[in-house]
Amino acid sequence: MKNKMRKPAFMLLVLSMIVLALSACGSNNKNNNASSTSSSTPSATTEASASASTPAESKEPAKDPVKLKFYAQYSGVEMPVYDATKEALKLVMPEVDVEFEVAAQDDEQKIKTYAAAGSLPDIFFASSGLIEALKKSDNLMVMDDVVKELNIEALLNESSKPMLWNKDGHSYAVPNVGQWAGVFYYNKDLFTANNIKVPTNYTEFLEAVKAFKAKGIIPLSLFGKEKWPGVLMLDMAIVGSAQPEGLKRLDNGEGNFSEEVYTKGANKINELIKAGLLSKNAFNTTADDAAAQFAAGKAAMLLNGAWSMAFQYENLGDKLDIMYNPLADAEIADQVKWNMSGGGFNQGFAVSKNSKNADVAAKYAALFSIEFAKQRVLQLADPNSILVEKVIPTNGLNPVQQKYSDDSANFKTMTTFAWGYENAKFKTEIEDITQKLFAGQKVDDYVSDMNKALETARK
Amino acid sequence: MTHKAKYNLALLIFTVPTLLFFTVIVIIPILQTFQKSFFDWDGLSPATFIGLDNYTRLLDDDTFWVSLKNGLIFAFVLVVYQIGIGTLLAIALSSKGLKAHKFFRTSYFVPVVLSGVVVSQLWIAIYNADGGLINSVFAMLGFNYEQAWLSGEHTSIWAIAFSAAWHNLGIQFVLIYTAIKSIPEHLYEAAKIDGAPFWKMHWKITIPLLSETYKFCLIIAITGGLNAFQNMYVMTNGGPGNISFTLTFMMYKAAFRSGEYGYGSAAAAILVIECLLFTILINRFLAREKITY
Amino acid sequence: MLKRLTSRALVYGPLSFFVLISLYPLIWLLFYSFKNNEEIFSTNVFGIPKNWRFENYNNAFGAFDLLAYFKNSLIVSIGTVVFTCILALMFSYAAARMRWRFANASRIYMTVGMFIPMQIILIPLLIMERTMHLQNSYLAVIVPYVAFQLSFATIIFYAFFRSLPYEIEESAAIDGASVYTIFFRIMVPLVKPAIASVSIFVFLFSWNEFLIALIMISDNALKTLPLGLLYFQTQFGSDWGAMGAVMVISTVPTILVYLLFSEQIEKALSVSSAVKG
Repeated sequence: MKNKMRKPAFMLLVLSMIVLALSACGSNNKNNNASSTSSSTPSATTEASASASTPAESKEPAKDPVKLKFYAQYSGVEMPVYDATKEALKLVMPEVDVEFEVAAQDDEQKIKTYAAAGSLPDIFFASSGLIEALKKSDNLMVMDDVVKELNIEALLNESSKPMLWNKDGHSYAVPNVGQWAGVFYYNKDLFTANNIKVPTNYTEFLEAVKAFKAKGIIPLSLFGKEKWPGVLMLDMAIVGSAQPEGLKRLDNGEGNFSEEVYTKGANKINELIKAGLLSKNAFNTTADDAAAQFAAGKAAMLLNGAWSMAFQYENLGDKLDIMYNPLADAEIADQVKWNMSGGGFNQGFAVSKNSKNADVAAKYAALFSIEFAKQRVLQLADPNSILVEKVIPTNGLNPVQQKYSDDSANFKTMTTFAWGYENAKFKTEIEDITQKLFAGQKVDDYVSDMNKALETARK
Repeated sequence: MTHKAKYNLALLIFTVPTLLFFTVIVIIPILQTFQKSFFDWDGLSPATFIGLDNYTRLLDDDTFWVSLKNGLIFAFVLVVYQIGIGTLLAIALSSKGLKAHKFFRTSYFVPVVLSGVVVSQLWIAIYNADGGLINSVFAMLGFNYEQAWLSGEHTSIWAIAFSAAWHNLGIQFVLIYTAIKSIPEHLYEAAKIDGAPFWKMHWKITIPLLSETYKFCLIIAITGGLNAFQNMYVMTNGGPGNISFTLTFMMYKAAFRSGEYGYGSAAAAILVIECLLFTILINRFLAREKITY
Repeated sequence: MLKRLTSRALVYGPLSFFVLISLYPLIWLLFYSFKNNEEIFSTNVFGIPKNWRFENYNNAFGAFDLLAYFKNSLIVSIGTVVFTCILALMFSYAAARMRWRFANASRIYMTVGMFIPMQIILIPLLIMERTMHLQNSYLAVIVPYVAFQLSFATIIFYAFFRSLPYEIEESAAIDGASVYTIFFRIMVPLVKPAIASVSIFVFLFSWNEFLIALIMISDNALKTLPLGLLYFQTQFGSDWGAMGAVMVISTVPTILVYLLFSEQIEKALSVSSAVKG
């Protein structure tokens, strides 16, 4: 009997040992992978790492090799941009080896958890909201010295210099991409075919919405499952009534929703919703879903940031055009023509204060940002370079990008996208409550909800 | 060693590792959550003690009540659909005369193996207000009943809960099926001789014998419903506004989006207490007698 | 005759209907993995792909080291199943069949893991893992997975242990068998169907879990399959077709595991109901 019972117990023991042994393998793998020095292509990962782990050390460089963990949006179209930037930096700082970790679209949950647990990666992508949160809790490396030492400011063009400095006078991240405005994309063919005038002000916009609705075409494809596009549109309506600071002013702690210009903005949205602006499914629509509708000719317009120009042009070709603010009041449309919504990219690659190699990381992050901005122009044809240096996109600009590039010299003011708000409570509430406005909430209720939220947020 | 000492040693060996492990990984963090619910804390900077302020704020927060109600609806849908349909399917498949029961059994489990993200994607398409499956079927049948299922104030949470119930039906089905299959055949013989109809026989014999099974099925369904998160996270992101919030979603919003970790902890604490309450009730009122065959 | 036909239709009709709605998602996912965004969202949501985009699978294999992630998922899932079953079986047996004062209280205590959404304990958990130096091994995810699945596993094992007749142990004890002998040789084999069911559920959970894996693993060499999807998502758009391909690839083993274990359940069931009869 005794012998018999040993067998299953023994089996369990063996099984758990196997699992333990396998679990331990993890730490070995890690070393191999982290020391991979040549991952110029995304697919060259583990196979390459085994053979490439030694050369860097055997050359005996002047400085000790440093490995840095880099948490960023290393995915999709940006993957080659990161890889090229990393390659270019090897010439400048050969002692540094970075390992990218792909960031998740998780409301910064991961990075905030890491900050709370005190284990931030050496370098990470930080939005303006995140910079505010981490600054407060003293997790961020101040980059002032590095910025001065490398003379970063001289590399940035005039309009981009302010992006280097936080409002407290310090620098926490070097900018890595230019300011984008929010724009309405539209399908030229649908407007001509249905004999509808391309709107230049709110009155015409409302007419166009009604006309498309009557023809059974969705006037505007809005991806309302994400919460910022609604906020952007409301912001445009407000900017169009001659408040160039838009909702950003409320974020800064000034004013409230009872002021005429804000109530008027909410009224415009309400009126458009009633006129049938959106598809019934707008709140379950993702960016890809909206783009697909727009590309298939089911929707006449699409609201998005200007970064999407390359992608939309790929889908629509010469049918595509953009307008900046068709929600402006008719009588002042010309006057507010160059007041843009969007922008607010006070963001970049930040460095953890607690990093073991904080100084090296700061220098690397600063240089990486500048090179990254250049590579973005080369590979993705960004028309809004932040650099003094004249960079020509490898494949040239498409006509829409060209138009944006020409017009951007005229832009007078910008507000910010919702993720650029610094008061996290305000950001969350305006995103959630504005969704209700787009779902048909009464303007009075919306205004009082927002005023209540403002009070809580400013406590 | 005496027999008694040996018995006690065995008891320790069987229980202590599990209890200890569970306490360290699950219970201590929960207690920390309870503690944080009395603080004003953003998750990063030092916290300030504010007593019951977070709780009084909850009572005044419209979103809290919506979330509480949605959790209950979610749990209700899971219980009715999964345990109801699960029982019917399990009884039907356990009857001897059925052909191809293996094929049926395997098929019913298939949705469970898919990840939540895939399932949510599918249901988003089904519920789509513009030419989604449901609306198209209604249109085909000539009903004028098109709905924005996922963003309507009165349909949203039901629609999301139904998709979740459908997704994990297989789990409850397997549990109930396994329990039915372990009921010894001889218990049915008397009823068969009497010529009792099929469903009546099961109503009288099977269902009462399943009470121990129902106990855990109910706990799984109810706690699963009360702290539902992923389904709305993928399908509606809580919106429009707060209409598809649950307490977990509320906690997520507070802790990670608006930097009010203490407030989120208070919502989570309420959730834990709510679940505990249901579990105790179920244990008290169901299957107090031990069942052996 | 007619009556028999209608009663058959009444049984097979609904059963087949449920087969249809259970199997369709699998086919839908397969089609999905061959489409592009436009077809997936707008022009061809439910149907057969107009042209089969095999490049989605190419992209899936090209963007990240799919095989390594696959291997990691396998190790994590099997590890979680093994540890969960061992710990939960021992505890449930003690709670259901042994006489001690806190049997009932400790059983309810163990269900608490089902009450709490994992989001709320992320920060304490990460701090704990750092102090225990778990972060650079598979244990970083296995430990929380096991801890949280224990609740589910214990309530199921408990119910099965409770339903076994007491005479089995009594007669074994008279023969002089120790507690361990009774547990390993007699009781565990009797709950095999429950072990198989729990194993399936725990495996599926750890195979598909995203959040804990996202937060606890920061080492690329340890990442599990669901994290591979991140390579196709950017802030402003995603490649859904390629993600579909990854999801198809990751669904195959889960179906195999189910087929394997459900066979075990069926076999074990016929044995155990014979014992009880």
